[in-house]
Amino acid sequence: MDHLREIETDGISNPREISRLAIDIGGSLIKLVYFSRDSSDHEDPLNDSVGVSNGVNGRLHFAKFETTKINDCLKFISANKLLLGVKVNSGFQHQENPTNDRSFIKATGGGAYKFSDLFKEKLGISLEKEDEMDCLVTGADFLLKAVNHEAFTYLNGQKEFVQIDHNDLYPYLLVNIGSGVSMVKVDGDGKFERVSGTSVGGGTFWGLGKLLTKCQSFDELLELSHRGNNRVVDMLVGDIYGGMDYSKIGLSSTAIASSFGRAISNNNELDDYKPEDVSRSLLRMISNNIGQISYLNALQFGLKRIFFGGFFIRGQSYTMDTISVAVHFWSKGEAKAMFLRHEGFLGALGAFMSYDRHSLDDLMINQSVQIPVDASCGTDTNYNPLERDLNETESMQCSVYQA
Amino acid sequence: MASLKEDPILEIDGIKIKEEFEIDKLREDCPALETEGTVIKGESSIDKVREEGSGGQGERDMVPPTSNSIHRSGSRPQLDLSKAAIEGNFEERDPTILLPNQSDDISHLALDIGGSLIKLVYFSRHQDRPTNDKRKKTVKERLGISNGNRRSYPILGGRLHFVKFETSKINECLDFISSKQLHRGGVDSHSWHSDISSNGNAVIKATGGGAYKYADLFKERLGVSLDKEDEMDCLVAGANFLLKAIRHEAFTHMEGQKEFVQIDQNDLFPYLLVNIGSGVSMIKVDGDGKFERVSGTNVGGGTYWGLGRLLTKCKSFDELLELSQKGDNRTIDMLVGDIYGGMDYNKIGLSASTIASSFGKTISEKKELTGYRPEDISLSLLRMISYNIGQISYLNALRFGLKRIFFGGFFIRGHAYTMDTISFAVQFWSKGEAQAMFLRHEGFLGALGAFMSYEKHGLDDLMVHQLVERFPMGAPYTGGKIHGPPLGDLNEKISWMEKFVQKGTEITAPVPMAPSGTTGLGGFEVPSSKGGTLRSDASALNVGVLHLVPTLEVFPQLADPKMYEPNTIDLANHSELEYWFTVLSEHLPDLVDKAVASEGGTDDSKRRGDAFARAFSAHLARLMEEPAAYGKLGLANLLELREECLREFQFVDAYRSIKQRENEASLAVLSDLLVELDSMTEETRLLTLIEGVLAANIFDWGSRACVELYHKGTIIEIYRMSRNKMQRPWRVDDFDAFKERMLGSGDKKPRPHKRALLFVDNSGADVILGMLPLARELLRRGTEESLPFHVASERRILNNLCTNPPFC
Repeated sequence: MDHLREIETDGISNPREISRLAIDIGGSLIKLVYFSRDSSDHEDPLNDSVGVSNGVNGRLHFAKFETTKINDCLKFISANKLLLGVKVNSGFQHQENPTNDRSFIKATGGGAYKFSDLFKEKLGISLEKEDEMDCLVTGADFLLKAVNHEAFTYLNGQKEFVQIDHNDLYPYLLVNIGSGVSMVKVDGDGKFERVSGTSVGGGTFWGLGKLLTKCQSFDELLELSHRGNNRVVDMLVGDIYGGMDYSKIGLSSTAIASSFGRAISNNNELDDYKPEDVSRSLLRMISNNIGQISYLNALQFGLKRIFFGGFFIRGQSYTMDTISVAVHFWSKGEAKAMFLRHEGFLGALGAFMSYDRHSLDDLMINQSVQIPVDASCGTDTNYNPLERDLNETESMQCSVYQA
Repeated sequence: MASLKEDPILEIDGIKIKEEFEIDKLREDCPALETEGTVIKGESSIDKVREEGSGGQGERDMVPPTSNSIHRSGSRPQLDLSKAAIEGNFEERDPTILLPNQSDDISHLALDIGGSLIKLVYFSRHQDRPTNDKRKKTVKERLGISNGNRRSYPILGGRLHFVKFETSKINECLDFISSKQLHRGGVDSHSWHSDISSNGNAVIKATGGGAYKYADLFKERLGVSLDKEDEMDCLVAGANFLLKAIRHEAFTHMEGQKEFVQIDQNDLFPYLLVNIGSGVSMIKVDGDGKFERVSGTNVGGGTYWGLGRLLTKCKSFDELLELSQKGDNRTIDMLVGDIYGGMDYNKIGLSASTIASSFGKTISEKKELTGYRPEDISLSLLRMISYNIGQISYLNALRFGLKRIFFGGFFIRGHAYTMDTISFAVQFWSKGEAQAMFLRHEGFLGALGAFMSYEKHGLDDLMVHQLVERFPMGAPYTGGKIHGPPLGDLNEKISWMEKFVQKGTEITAPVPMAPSGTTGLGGFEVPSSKGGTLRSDASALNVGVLHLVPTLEVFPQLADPKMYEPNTIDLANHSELEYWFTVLSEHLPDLVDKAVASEGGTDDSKRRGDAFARAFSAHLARLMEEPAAYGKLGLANLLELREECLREFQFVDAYRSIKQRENEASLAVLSDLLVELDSMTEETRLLTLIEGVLAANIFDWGSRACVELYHKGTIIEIYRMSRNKMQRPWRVDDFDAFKERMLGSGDKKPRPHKRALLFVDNSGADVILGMLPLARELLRRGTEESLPFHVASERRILNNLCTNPPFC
């Protein structure tokens, strides 16, 4: 634990060395967001021009781990000395008690409860639990306001960034697709309600996919789906109608009448199906279902915008396409599915923001919008920030300067 | 009787002291009373009452009435009735009517060929229970079948059968149709179709995608064309028909509790119809033929079965469904508690046992597919899909402000867990505002709708009371499962029962059934050949054959016929059920003795008696376990089941000899009684008459108490003794009102009743010593006509009030 002692502190009023860490421990994945001080901080002219005394230039880092491999995550935290900031912060939070056991990191997700003891034991820190929905909404709000070109639509293979007017952001439906799916109606800063959800989510895709294909990872399964053809597995309208559309009710012959419905009628066993096809069918089933339920909820509350986040999506074009088509189909084009570039980190970001909501996030918003090129990856539609291997840890997505 | 309109005369029979004794009284099918003209055809009498109410001339002899409460729409195409005649035996009940000039486009088969299952609905006019009643002929004559002015055209009486096949085994379906000649209007209709056989012009109504896909196959194999009906049209027509025509068709199912819902036909629309087949369609129904498919989902029955097959290697949907009953989804699903370390996520109302992610737990396990129990997988899958359907349905109902959601389609299969899950989802998301309801004929909406699309059967005019659902009683059930084959043949039934008795409860494995194609729904109309297939029948739909009896009418004097509930005792109450279960079980040996005696005590009748006892006990046992197995269960239904069971073992009237004896004894003392009555003052006589009605009513030869009483004295002594016990006030006591109406008060002289309708449901002393003297008194006081109206319990009570007693 002596590494924790290596921090240079500069005074409580000006914690330039802040390196705070927040963590979102979900059912399948652990998401980390942490802030590191920019080395060029002292030369940054912005610092003075904005005239903020306690600003820090730095970068926000994003990392994720599978929840089953939580030990990797713990190792990563100690190896990267992410707890340095914790010690310092413990100073300004509770100056009179600067002992190790008072140190904490903000955490959200169910695992914040479940793994609380493990963190205490392995790292000697407490997890300060932040409400999951609070964090999701805070994270989404932050991203939509602070990061330019955070949101985009995806239809027919076309990714299109959407400029969100901050004054016209609310209300919206936030759909967070993790292991399960939460649907949150957001009416304003901190004003939200979890209105719905479904248990058919990322965990279902991965769980069923694992049983059906023997894939070893979520990403492998996703990868497979690219090459699959769901028509082998799904019963299409045309299969029932002998190749004809059921035009009276607007169903084309290629519409899926019954997911996996074809597996009924022929005598093939599981091994006779290509894992690619099974994966594809599964992905379509789940994406479509989420899209539909989301739309129905948006409709119920008269919400035109639906933002999809959570780690299920992973910038997967097919997933996004399916969700978009579902929303488009059911809403007859009235509602729009939008995706977030930092989709997986909403909760972790929200937890991160909760360290000091009042001073920090305003500043970050003001600053970060000034550097769209650094913060985002431009308009390169082929860029998939999260498409790398799941366990590649230091996936740094976004830099946020803070003055 | 509270539901009868306020009329003192009608209230008389409502003095329900006899309720305690009612059990067997209700059973009394037939008064062996040969007083022609007093026990009359129910339907005719109703018509008569109506006519006469409007000033018509009553006649002692029942001529064909000229009006009918069911108005047959003149706008519909009509049957060609010229030269219509009753086919075959006039002695039959509801005989087939031969319409030699009717073109053959009255087909009686309709199909719904879905992605997974083929559903058949067919109509048969086949009669299997010849009766030997001698007055049948005259009744039929009175009915005036050949008298065209009575109704625009008659509906053919008969039966509606429900059968299903797997679509992948379509050949079995074709064989079935072919063996029954259903594509030619059915084997029953012998002669009148013979000339058009296989000329290729026959048309069968069909719906479902398969109606397109398999059209050529039907043409080739059966030489029939499939006339395609739109799927949604059929679904809606089928659902509307069921909800309107069948009493207690809909029910709710929450936490294992089934509760039947009485739908007010005037308050049926709008509703959301969710048909769960391979996929799911959600239809907003605003009225007859007015609907819109508003949503649907591709995650349906096909998904459950398809994924289930891949994951568990189950060979059939039913097998998969049955597996789920032994499953524990916690090994598969990620629960809120799994994420929160066993804690609830109270803030958003999620308990630790809520499923956070279906199949989510398999992510973190190292196990392969084979490491999981198929039971658990099946349950998890079932929950996922049912819940999802419930949720999407609710969201759509909400969108259109629909409070009622009816779920149909073959996915459900009466499976309690599926229904509970769907109900739970609807309840949870709607916070109790919306209600999930299920349909007993859930799987047959489309097929029924296709059937309805035939233009000339007139079925859409049907009223609730004209359809009587019957369950085959010959196949014994125990412990909620079918343990016996659905056998149509009496001898087979008996020998199976004997085997069953011999082996006792050893026979727990399903016995060989018909080839796996049909699941022997309801009518168990399976080919008689027995394949080697074993199948469990946990998912068997408890759908009976619908017996269409067009002559049934609702008793017009009911204050609220729609809401009239003939069952005075609802057996949904478990202790009530237990009580009656015990009563009926204890009474069974005695009943068997009587039944056997009524048939002369032959060896054959003894064998049948034993088989009956065994079969009926098995049904009772099943009902104890699953009271709603045959639909809503009231005491009257239970008694009717017993009667049906007796009939299936060909006991026409178990009480025949007793009734005969009692009738004779009663007639012998009638004149003495009348003399006694005539010597009384008016007021005393009136009271004595009513007391007599009540007293005679306790003569119930099914009740042990009465039998003992009988042994102690002569019938007139018992009658007098009983009468003296009838001290007012009675439990329901309208005597003062009645007396005032009869005798007037003060100077006011009452006008006599024009007509009186007396309800009797028994024979012997009940009628002869109780009702006849009363009828006589009424006539003497100027009532022009007094019609004892035999309430036979051959049908359910509502129907009893209306009609068609078997021996009129």
